[in-house]
Amino acid sequence: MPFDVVRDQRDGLAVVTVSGEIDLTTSDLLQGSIERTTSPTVVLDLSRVAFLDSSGIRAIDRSRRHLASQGRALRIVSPPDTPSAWTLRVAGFDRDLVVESLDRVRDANSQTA
Amino acid sequence: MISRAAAREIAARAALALDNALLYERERDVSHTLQLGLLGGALPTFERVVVASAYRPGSASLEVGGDWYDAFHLENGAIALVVGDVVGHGLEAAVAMGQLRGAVSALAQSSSPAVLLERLDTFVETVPSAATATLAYVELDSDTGAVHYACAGHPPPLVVSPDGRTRFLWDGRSAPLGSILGRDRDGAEDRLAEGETLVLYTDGLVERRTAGIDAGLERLAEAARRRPSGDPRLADEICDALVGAEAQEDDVCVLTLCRMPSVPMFSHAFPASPTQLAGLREQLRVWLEDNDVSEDVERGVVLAVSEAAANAVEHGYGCDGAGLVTVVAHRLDGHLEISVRDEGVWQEPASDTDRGRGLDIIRAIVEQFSIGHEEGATVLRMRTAANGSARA
Repeated sequence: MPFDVVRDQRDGLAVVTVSGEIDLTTSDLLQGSIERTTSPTVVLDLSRVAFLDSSGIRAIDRSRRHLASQGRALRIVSPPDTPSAWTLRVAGFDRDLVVESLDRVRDANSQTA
Repeated sequence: MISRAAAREIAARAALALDNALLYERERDVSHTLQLGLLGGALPTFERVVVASAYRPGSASLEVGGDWYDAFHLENGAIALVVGDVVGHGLEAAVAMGQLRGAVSALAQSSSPAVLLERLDTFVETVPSAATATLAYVELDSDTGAVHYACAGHPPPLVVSPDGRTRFLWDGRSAPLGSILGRDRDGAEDRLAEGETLVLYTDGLVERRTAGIDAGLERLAEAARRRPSGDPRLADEICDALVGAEAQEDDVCVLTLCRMPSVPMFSHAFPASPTQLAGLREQLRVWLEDNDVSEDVERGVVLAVSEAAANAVEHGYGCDGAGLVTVVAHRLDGHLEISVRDEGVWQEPASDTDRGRGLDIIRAIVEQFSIGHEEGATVLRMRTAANGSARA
């Protein structure tokens, strides 16, 4: 599965959907795609990611801090038992930032809206 | 104007010199032919090992004839390897070499390495030109890897691991054959792990007038790790690397034996570029699946190896696309043993850096993890169970 990033706007959320492998060759592209969004809440959907390494986590972490500095939030969608969930868990990534599905982000967003 | 008598004298001397030169040429040719005839027969084939040899005749004067190598089956199922050097040169040395070579293969059938040397001491009493010969003799059980060996006045055998580690077998040493000092013969034991290669050689390979033997042994160890485990071209590669450019005076023999793994191992080398990482992961996944590794372990090992390789590419070589990263993995006794090797400039990681995060991920996945600096290379080693659920 080749690496691909698609950005779109759904229900007032910017959704960045990634497929393929995230490593040293693609992590900068990922970071750029997240940071170029404009919505208050950005969803990074990793459901279709086949591989995620520490350079990907680094990119996600930097994007999250970049958005936070602008008062925006990053939500990460990573269903259990997928490659991305596995790496996030091994790397000790903050669980509060990870949700299991896009629907849950939508639900949470509509409640606060 | 010279006198007739003087002219006659000059002619006679010239004829004698010419005769001597012809004799000398002929003897060198004959001894060389004899030596090649003795060494020329193909080595027998052995199961579960790859054996290869290389021979380079000496160029200087009569310095030809005394070196030999041999490999043969023992009745107990073990494989015997020998490399020896008869001191002295020319036809006499070549003949003595032939006799000694035959004696070794006959006497080895019923002797331990130390006892073999004792019996050869007795043998060389009847072949004076074989006295003070040196040899390295090794027996290998290819099922267990058990090695028994002894060296009589001969430089130590070398062992090369698939990940590039090297060690010399310095035990089991005693004096050259026929020496009065040599009567107390000693043997030693070792073990050749799967994938490891044993290198036997004669002293012409490592001795230089201009440099000590330690420098020669170092050059040998460096050359011996240039080929992947099991490559039969290793013996030639070693000869080319150590004597290739120079017209060496002495003969040189190299005999290599690799103990092949019962399960094929994974070996992948690639230039230090991030674009190579996806290919590494793909090949590693195929190998892990072939080896019935559980899905959890596969996922963890692929991530850990990718992190280690990215580390070598990025921080060992600065992504220069030129330096080589080598990944070797094998399955042994229910465990996976993996090494990632680079020869770049290592920078100590600070744990709070992004790079520290990669190493933390590896630590969280595998059971054992270490980083070693070996002869100009950085080797990251991992060991983890081949089955069951991942630790993380």
